[in-house]
Amino acid sequence: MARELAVRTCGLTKQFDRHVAVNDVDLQIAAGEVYGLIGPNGAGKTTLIRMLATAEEPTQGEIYIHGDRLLLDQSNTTLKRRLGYLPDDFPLYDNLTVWDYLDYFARLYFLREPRRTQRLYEVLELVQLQYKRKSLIATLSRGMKQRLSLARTVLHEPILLLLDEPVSGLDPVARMQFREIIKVLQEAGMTILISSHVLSDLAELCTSVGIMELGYLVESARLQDLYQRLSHRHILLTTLGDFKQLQAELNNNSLVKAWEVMAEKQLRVDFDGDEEDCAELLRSLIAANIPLTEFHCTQEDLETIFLKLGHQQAS
Amino acid sequence: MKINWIERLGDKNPQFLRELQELQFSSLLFAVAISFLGQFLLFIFYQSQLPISYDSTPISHKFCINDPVSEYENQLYCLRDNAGNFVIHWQLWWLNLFTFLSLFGIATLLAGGVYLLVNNLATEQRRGTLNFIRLTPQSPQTILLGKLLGVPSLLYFVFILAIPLHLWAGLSAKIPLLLILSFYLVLIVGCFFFYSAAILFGLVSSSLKLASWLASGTVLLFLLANHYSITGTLVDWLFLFSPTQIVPYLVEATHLNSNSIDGWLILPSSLYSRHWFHIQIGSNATNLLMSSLLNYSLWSYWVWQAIKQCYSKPKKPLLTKKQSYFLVVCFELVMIGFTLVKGDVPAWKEGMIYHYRYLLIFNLVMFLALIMLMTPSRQGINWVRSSQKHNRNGQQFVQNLMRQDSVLLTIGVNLAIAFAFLIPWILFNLEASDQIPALLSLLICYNFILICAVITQIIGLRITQKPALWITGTFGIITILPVIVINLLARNSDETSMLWLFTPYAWAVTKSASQVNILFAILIQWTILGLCTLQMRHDIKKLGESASKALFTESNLHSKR
Repeated sequence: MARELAVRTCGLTKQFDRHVAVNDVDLQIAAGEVYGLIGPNGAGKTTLIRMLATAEEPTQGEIYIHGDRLLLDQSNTTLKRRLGYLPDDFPLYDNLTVWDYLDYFARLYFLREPRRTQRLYEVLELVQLQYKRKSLIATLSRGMKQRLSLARTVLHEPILLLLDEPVSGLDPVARMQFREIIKVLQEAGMTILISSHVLSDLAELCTSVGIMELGYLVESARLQDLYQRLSHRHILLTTLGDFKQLQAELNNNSLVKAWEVMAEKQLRVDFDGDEEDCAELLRSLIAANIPLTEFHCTQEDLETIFLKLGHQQAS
Repeated sequence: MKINWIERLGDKNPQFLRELQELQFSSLLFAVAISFLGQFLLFIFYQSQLPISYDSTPISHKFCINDPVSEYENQLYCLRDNAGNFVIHWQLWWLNLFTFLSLFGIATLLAGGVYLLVNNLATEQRRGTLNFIRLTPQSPQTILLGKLLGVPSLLYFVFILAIPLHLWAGLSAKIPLLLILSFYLVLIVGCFFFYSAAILFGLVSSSLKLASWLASGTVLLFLLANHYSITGTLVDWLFLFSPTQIVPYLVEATHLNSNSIDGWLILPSSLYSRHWFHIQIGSNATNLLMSSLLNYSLWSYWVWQAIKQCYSKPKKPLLTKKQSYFLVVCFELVMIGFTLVKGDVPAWKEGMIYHYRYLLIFNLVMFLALIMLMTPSRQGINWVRSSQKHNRNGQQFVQNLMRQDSVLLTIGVNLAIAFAFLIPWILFNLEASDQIPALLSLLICYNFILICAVITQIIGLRITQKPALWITGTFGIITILPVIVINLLARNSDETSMLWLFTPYAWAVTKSASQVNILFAILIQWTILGLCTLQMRHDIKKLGESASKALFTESNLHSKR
C-alpha cells in the first residue's frame, strides 16, 4: 500500500521580479520521512520551504499538506497548526525568559492548561534546556537559542516539520545534539523536511533527499535508491600471500569492475554489488585460502554523489 | 484568583499578555511617579494662579468672584470676605484644571500611543518576529488588538491614575457626570481609531526610519489645527475625528458666564449648525457624541479591513476591489451629507459652489489614497507576468493584467461610482449657471486621477525599491507644485490662470474660461492618458518578455546540465 503523502506540490513556482527562485517544482514527501533538501546557495531551497510554511505565497502552483490544499486567499488556520517551521535566522525575543517565550507561542497555538505546562516541560527536556527555563533568552548561547527555536517549532506537535539550515553556525557538539533531537522527532512520527549544507548530517538523518539547482528540483529519491544507483562500493584488501592468486580470484567475480594497487600487497577494488555480495566475495576469498589481513568495505558518500552529479556543493 | 484571571486573559489574547510581560516593575513604578508628580505639579500650578492678598488694594483676577458693587460701577474688582481674603470662583478654577487635564490627556494619549505602536511594529518587522507570529493560527485581529491594548499599557496606566483628579475636577466644576463619562467614551473610541490607523501605518511604513515620529507629529498637528476648526465646510468632518470636539460642550454645561471662560473653550455658534443630511449633529453633546462614535466606528471598520489584508498578505493591495467600491460609496455618502446644511451658516452665504470645491478636493485626496491602497507590490504583478509563460501572447497578457490585477479598472469603476453620487448632487444643488462649469471641472479632476493611476502603475512596474515613497512623492509634486507655479506666474497675468485647467483645481477657472479652452485642456488630458497607457502597456510587454527570457534561459541552462 502506498504511503500517505505529507507534502505534495504541483508546478510550484516563485518569481521575484525577473528572478525565478523556484521553478515548476513537483515535490512529494511521504509521511514519516526525513527528507533532506540539498543544493548550492541560491538554488531555491529556502524559498521552497518558506512557501510550504505559508511564509511566502507561490507565484504559481499548488501545495497539498496531507492531502489538504493550501489556499492563498484563506488564513489556513487548521493547516498552520500542523506545520512547524524553523527558519535559518530564527528571530527571538531577547527580553523574555525561555519559559515565557515558549508559553507565549504555546498560547498562540491554542494550547490550554494543564496540557500547556506539560508540553512546555516535554519540549524543554527534549532540547535539554530545563535548567535554563528561567533565563533570559539574551543570555543563551547560539546553540541554545537554536535548540530553543526548535522547541518552539515542535511545541504544538506539528505533523510536518520544516527546518531551514538548522545546524548552520553550530559547533560539532551542538550539531550532534541537534541531530539526536531530530532522530527523536522522527521516531515520534513527524515528517521532517530539512535543508542543510552539511551533507554528512543529512546522510545520517535522511530517508530521502532532493537536490535543487537554479530553482529546479533536479533529483528526488530515497537515499538507499540513490546510493544503489549512484554510489560505488570500494573494498580495500590486504593479503599476506600471493598477489597474483588474489587477482585471479577477483577476476572470477563478475561484480568486481576494476582494482588499483594501493601499496605492497594492498588493493582497492571497485565493486558493483551490495553488502550481501561483499560477504559472498569475502567468503570466496577465504575459501580460496587467501591469507587476508584486511577486508574493508566502503561506499561513496552523499557529497561524492552530489559532486558526481555535476553539482557544486558548498559545505 | 489573580492567576486565573491572567491565565484566561493570556488564552484569549496571548499577544496582550506578552506585551504586559514585557513591562518591568521599575517601569510601572516610574509610570506611577510620573502620573502623580504630573498631577501634583498641575495642581500646584493652578494653585499658584490664585490671587494673593498682600494689602487691601482692590485687584481684578479671573479666578475671583467679582464684587457686585464694583460690577455696578463697571469696575471688576475681587470680592473679599470678612477676613479680607479673596472669594475664589472655585467652579471656574476647577473647570480650568479639568479642561487642561482633558486636552493634555487627549494630546498625550493620542500622540504618545501612536508613537509607541508605530515604533513597536517597526521593531518587530526589523527583527523579523512579526513574520513568525503571522505563521501562527491566530487571527490578525487577535494579534493586533493585543498590540493595541498592550503596547501603550504604561500610558494607559499613567492616565488611569489621573482619572480621580480629572473626575473630581469635572464634578467640582459642576459638569454633569454623564457628560464626563461621555468624554471618556469619545476618548476611548477615538484612541481606538487613531491606534488602529497607527497599526496600519506601522505595517505599511516599516522601511521608513522616522515613521513613528512622523505619525505622532501628524496627530499633534491635527489636534492643534482642530483648535481653529469649525469652518462650515467639509473640513468639519475631519475635525469630527478629534476627541477635543466634545470639550466645549462640557464647558458649556457648567453654565458659567462666557466672559469668564477662555475664548477657545467657548462653543462657537458654527459648531451648533454642523449638519449631516440636515440632521443637526452639533446642536448638543448627545448628537455630537453619537455622530463622533458613528464616524469613528465607520472609519475604524475600514482601517481594520485594510489591517487584516496587510497583516495576512503584506504584498497584496490593502483592499479588495469589492471593498474599494463600498469604501467609495461610504465616503461619498458621508461627504455629501456634510454639504447638505440647513440655516444661515458661512457655507450658505457663499453658495453651494463653495461646498462643491471642497467635495472635489476631498475626492481627489481620497482617490489618490485609494490608488496607493490598491497598488500591489511588484510580486502582485508577477503573478500575471508568469502566466505569460503559458500563453506567450503579449496582447492576451495585457488583457490578463487589465482583468485581474490592474488598479486602473478598479479606479475607473470607483470613479463611476463617485460620478453617480456627484452628478445628481450638482444638478440638484448648484445654480443652473454653475452646473456646466462644475461638470467640466469634475471631468478634468477625474481625468487627472486616472492619469495618476496610470503613472502609479508605471512607477510600480519600473521601480522596485520603495515604490510607495516614489508614488507619494510624485503625487505630492503633481498636486501641489502646479498650484505654487501657477500662483507665481499668474500674479501679473490673467492668461496664465488658464493653466489651472490642467490641474485638478480647474473649478477655480471653469466658469470664467472659454469652452474651447476647457475642451482643449480635456483633449490634452486624454492625450496624456493615452500616451501613459501606451507606455504602461509597453513596460508590461517588456517585463513579460524579459521574464519569459529569464525562464527560457534558466530552462536551457537546466537542460544543458
